[in-house]
Amino acid sequence: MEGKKLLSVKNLKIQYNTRSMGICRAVNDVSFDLNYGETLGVVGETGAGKTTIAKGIMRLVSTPPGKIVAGEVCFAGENLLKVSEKKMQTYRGNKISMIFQDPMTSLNPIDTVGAQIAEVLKLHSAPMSKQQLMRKAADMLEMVGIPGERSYDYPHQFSGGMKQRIVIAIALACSPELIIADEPTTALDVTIQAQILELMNKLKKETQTSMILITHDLGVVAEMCDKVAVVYAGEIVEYGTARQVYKETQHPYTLGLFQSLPSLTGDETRLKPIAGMMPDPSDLPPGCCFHPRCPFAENACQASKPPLRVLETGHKVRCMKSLNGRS
Amino acid sequence: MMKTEGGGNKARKHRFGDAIFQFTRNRLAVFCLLVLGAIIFCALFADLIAPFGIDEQQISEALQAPSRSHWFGTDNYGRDIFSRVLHGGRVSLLVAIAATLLSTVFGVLFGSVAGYYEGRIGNLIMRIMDIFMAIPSLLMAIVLAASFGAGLNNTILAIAISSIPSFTRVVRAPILAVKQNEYMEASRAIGARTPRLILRHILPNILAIVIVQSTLGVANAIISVASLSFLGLGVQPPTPEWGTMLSAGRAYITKCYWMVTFPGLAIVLSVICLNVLGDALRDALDPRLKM
Repeated sequence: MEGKKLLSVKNLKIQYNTRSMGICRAVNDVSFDLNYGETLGVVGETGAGKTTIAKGIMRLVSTPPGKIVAGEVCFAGENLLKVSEKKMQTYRGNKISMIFQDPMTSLNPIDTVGAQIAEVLKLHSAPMSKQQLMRKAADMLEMVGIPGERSYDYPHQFSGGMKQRIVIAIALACSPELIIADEPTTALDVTIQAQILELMNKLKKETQTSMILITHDLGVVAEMCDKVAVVYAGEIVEYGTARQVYKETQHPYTLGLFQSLPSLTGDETRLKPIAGMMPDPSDLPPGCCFHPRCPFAENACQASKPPLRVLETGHKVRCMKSLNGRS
Repeated sequence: MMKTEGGGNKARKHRFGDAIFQFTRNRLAVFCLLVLGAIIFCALFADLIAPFGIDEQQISEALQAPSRSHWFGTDNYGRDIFSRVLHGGRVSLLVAIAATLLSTVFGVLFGSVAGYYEGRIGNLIMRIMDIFMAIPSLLMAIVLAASFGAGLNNTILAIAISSIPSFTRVVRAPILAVKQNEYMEASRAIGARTPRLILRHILPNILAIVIVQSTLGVANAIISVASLSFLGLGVQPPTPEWGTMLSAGRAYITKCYWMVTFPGLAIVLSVICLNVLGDALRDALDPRLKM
């Protein structure tokens, strides 16, 4: 299990061509690897391109206006960007599945939840009778902690947390090898959030599934992830194991994210946000994208784009300077 | 789709159960449904109910006022108006329902394509529909009926074509909205194909709108049929039809009120009932009220 690559994204580049704003470079040269059974956290501000990366892997970027310009998405040795749409459809929901952000809207309001779980089974598994399908759907519901007999209920009869459980049941129904969870807990309140994360962790361990967890919640990442990629303006600015990123923070942006968390022990009365705004993806600044907001910026940062430096530990950072001992 | 499995049926019943319950609470609508049922029943079994044949002329009894033997009186040829109203209902309702079915099918087809493929194809379809809509639909039906020639089938066709544009528009708008929902993307993410997306996820979501619109559409079609026939472009005499009968009775309106009153009443009654029914269905099926 350990160390074997399931997914390898190389130089992924996605753009949106919009009439009003010109070309938006949403994802620029993103590369990362994911091993079997591992969880990768993708962290970043709203609009950093996290969801677009996820959609790029699923090949669900709506074209037009979106377009995957370059790159490779190797899933179990196969470049997903090259396979036919028909083949891709057999992968979606089957080998790769997605958990969406808002469970309130990601279930069809006019279908019973059982039928919606059965749908993914029907699309991908060997033909079986309606009864078998519904029974399996009920089993899946049980697995996420909802009584099986509720499979004949409609989404509006469930609470938000239960709906997210149902979405998870749909995602897991075909035992996929990779789950992409796009901010799965953002729309839920904190207690439910903990329950859902616990459930996901448990199921992930049981099924040995790999996961990409997209979030802007650093606490969630710490709880769930083996590796972390910090995304800023469509680029990975820092990449490493959760420990490396949390304990040996290298990039000023990551540092800013940590500093903007409210502290439980300190007596500050104000939050410390990162000054400024995320750059406009249709008009990225020259050089390092973060330099206009970076407290450590120098002239050199403006002149050229820093490469993703690999430190000896395997920790990668896209910054010219060494941040060690500066926090 | 839901044919064999018991559980599936239970779910279906559950969903429409709410709607039926909502509907039965509307007394007026239930009354209208009964009246409409009676009208349809009479039209279906006109042969058995009607005391006289449609072409049975008794010149000696021409232009008689309503009496015990001729409930609705007789016309200028001595034909029994009650029998002709019953048989006329058959033609009027048949034409109206057939035309509405036709326009529903094509309206839903064009509307869902135009809604789903918003870009060039959608634009093309909607601009064509706009051109058609620029012409008043009755005028359009008249032009079409005149160019196809009179007759039952051509009347159906003319009315259907003239009401397709509004149907397309009514269907397209909610599809544009439904399409934006995250569950559309979610079902794409589980590997569903476009036809499945449209048939399983989009159309059921707008079914209520389609049902309501076609109920109201039948009411409009009845008026259109009657109008065309009144102008001599629709169903041709001696076939009894409410519009044709109105047209024939026009000359006698000052002396023999019954020649126009009863066919007219039949039209008014069925149209009112259909409209009330359509409104009640809209209330009953509105998903916003169900939460």
